[in-house]
Amino acid sequence: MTFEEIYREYAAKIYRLCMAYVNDRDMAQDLTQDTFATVWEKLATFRNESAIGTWVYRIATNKCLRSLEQTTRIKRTELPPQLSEPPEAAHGEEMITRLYQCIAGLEEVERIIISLELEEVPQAEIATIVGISEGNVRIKIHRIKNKLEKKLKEYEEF
Amino acid sequence: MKNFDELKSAWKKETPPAALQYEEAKKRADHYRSSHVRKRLLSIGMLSAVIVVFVLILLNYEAKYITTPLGLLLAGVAIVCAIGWETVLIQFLMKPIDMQADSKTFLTYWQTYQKRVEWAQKTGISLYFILLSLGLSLYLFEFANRDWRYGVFFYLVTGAWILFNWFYFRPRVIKKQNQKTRALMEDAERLASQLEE
Repeated sequence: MTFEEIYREYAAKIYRLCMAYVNDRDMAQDLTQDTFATVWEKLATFRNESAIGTWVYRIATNKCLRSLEQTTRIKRTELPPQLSEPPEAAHGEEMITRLYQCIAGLEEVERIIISLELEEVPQAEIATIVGISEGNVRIKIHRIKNKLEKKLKEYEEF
Repeated sequence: MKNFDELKSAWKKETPPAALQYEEAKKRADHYRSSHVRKRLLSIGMLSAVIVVFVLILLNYEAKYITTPLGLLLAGVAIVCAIGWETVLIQFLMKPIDMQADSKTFLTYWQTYQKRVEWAQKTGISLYFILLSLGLSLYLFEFANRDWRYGVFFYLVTGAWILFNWFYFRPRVIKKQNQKTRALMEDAERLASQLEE
């Protein structure tokens, strides 16, 4: 795959992953661009030991984890949500904003795992990306879904 | 949002901004690469300039004692180390973090890397002060030797300056530099604990 093909296939997916991690569009954009700068730099040495998608996701998740280096703490948006919701959010965007806010309230690794699940990455691949067993991924996803559901319910009731 | 499928559809509605168009990204990737090279070249350029200045001083200065150029040389090495320690030496001595590893391995690398950075910073600063103090003491020998009163005065002042640097400045600089490293290590540890089974 050429860099351009990889970019066109994964840019939006990586952007959403970063957006879920930082809940900030500018930072997500920077992280996405940094990810692809590394992809561009390392593509020649990519050894096909894993699928290209797994490789790109690994770089992106590590960029997210390492983003703590730039900001001492990633902005965490906790409920109640009306305090942190941008006032200019259009009605159609409200649902997306709400979803990303709820994800931002999860722990960092949970944000990564749920983003990959929402991106429909197979659980075996998620396990390879984050470096834990498939069974553990399954358990974590189950717990995260419950947490997320609870957060969304709290949001709707508010 | 009642079920996970609804979440998925809301999730995919978040579209990347225009700046993430391929052409823009390609431009940025090229810029990133060239600015990285530029930064490296700048550090190497600064180091070379300092070395050249010291070599010129050594060649053109007619000293009575060997201690004078030796002192200058040590002070020069200290300054070169101070400029190049973080930008060149640490990166040259340490294996870079593998961004292509899985998250768990990456966090382990990261913790080890930060520990090494912490050690390198501590050692680098101590080495800088030792070399600079030693260099200055040797450099002053020739001037102090001309008159014992000057000698006592110079060495008392220099000694006080060295002690002040060692016990006051050095720990402060180390603490400041290590603060960020320590915070990053704690973060890496916290993130790694989130991956535990």
